[in-house]
Amino acid sequence: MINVVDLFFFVAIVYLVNSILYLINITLKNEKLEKFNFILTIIGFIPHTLGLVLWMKQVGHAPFTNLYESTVFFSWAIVLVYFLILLKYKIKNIGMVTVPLAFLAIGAASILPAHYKEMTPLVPALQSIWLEVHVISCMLAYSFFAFSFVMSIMFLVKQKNNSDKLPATGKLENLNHKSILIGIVLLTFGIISGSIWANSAWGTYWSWDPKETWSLITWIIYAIYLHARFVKGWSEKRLAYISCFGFLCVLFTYWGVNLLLSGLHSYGR
Amino acid sequence: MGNIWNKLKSIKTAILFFILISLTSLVGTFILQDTNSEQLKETYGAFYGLFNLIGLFDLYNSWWFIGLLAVFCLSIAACSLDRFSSIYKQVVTPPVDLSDEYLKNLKYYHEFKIQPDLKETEASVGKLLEKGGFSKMTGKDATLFHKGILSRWGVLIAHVSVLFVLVGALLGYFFGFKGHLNLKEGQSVSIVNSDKKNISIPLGFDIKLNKFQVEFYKNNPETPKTFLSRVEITDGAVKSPGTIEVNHPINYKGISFYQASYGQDEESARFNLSVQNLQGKEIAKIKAGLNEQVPLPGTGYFVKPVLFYPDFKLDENMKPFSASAESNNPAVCLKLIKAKEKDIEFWVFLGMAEFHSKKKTPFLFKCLDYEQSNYSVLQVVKDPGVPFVYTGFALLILGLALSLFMYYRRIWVKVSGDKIIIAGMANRDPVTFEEEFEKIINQVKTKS
Repeated sequence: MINVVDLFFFVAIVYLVNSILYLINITLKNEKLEKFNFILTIIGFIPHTLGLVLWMKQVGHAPFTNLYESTVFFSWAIVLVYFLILLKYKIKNIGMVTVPLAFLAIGAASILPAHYKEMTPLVPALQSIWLEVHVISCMLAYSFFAFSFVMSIMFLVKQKNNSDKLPATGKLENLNHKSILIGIVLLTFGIISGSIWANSAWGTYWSWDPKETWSLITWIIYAIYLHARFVKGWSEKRLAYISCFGFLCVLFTYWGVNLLLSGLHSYGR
Repeated sequence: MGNIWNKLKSIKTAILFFILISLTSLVGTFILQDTNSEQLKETYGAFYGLFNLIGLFDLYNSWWFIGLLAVFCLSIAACSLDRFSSIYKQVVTPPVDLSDEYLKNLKYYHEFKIQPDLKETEASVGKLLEKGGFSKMTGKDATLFHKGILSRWGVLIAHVSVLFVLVGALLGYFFGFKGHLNLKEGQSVSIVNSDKKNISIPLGFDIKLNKFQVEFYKNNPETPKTFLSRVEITDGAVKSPGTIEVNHPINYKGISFYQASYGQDEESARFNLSVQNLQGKEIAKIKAGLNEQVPLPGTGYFVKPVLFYPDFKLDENMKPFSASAESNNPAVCLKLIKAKEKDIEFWVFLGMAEFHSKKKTPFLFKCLDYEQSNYSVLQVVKDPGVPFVYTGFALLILGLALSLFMYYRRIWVKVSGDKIIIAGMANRDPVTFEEEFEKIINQVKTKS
């Protein structure tokens, strides 16, 4: 039988190699290498998908109940969103930032200590349809925020040295805004579903548990972004900074809280 | 007054509140929220008193945090009212008859000059737009077409929804309570102690635990698969049975009962003991509960379990203690009693049947197993704010979805002199609108 953890490690290495090639290609600008990058992403994505299916089969539930499996899933979702954006908008070069991001996620998951990677059965509180609804919407929200982060970084780079490898700033800003809109709807839905779930499990829809609080902070930062667009005299550059800061909060909500703080979500270890 | 109103409804104030709320709630995630913690006293030393006074250890319930949320409510209310009037003006009574000058200054503008019949072209443009889902408003000398009106209301709905959530939260804070019940099987209660306010609240009815059940995973015997309480509520002459399971609470007269957790009732432990003579031959099998004195038949001795440690360990002074409530190393301390003789106390370990105390006893004891009943921990909640909060949730999703999946744009069509003017304006999404506008202009061009 295939060891799924090893399979994910292999995927991480494929993404790493791919990320390095992307970085090299920034200076080379070789079109053949660009195609190879894309193929390599697919080579990583197939075992990644397969591994998740196997993992779910073996553990008997969706891969959302601990930090390891959810991060592997998150990395998968990033690549998926990348493919979707590529299909719809045909923007060149977003792989340059999304693939390293996917690598960082699955790589970080891979270096977690072994006890994080165990398959654990569900305690009663987690046996609920809300688990899937809650985690899928949060993960998708995180992926869209990751994408908006990528757009903001590209925006800032483009603004600084007007590289012809990057799309126009207007387009980047528009995509940043759009993905934040989708992200905030998904995050809202994720927080609300978690809240309703908590109310049915523990009788409190909000208990200021660190994860909850940090998801609220993240939500607020993106709310600031949405409002800041209407403040006269605030530059698009400032918006890009808020978007980047929002993504840092996403990272802290997702990883920082689990590793540094404790609370209700501690089974997510 | 007008000044305060203008400040309250401004976006900059909203952003200020956003920053204040996120910064203060951030502080609460790094400071342990527990006013009873001794550890906090040590950590903060001289500052403990001050920090406690300003509610740093119960930040989310402190007067200033609740106050901050309340003022934020006012700000959202002000801004919603303001939004309402401006959206009303914008989409219900929008300006139709605009000057050529004004239209010319809009970002999206196009004029056609060489037209055989301007009125006919105007009508065909109108048809085209109406076909594309635009609503029409006719003015004196111009026509306005607009689309995505719901997105404007969506923005308002999203703001009002947050108000619902916050008002619901404040209602729960002032008029609700939360408490815990530890119920043994057969036990019945009618009063619950509030977790926060240190008061006892009469339920107005009795709740009795008939049976508590817990089931573990077969391949992972430490993780519970399900646990549930079968209860019976007695309200006057009315008796109603119910099952409280994790994720499936029950509600009676506005009070909800949740299966929070469970614990082992050590007082209820009963031990199955095997008694052997010093040659190792079994002379009796007895059952004894904690602190229950049971005779050893035909010997004149009595045995009494006096202490039970589910997780037996020795501390630095070789004094036994229970490291946890889990049965990692269960041990029972037995007392052997006979009239006119000195009592003998010794430990018997369940996991080490062949281990016998060094103390001299006339018999050898083995503890074969023990039974223990569980107590069920129920969370008791009354929260009249929940319907408001849930309404707010539904409205928030609706409002955000409306304002996300649609956007508001207006197109004016005006015949002026020998030309026909088509000018547009979009609230959001200029990139998409630019495409849409160009497409419309091209369609008009090819048609005429």
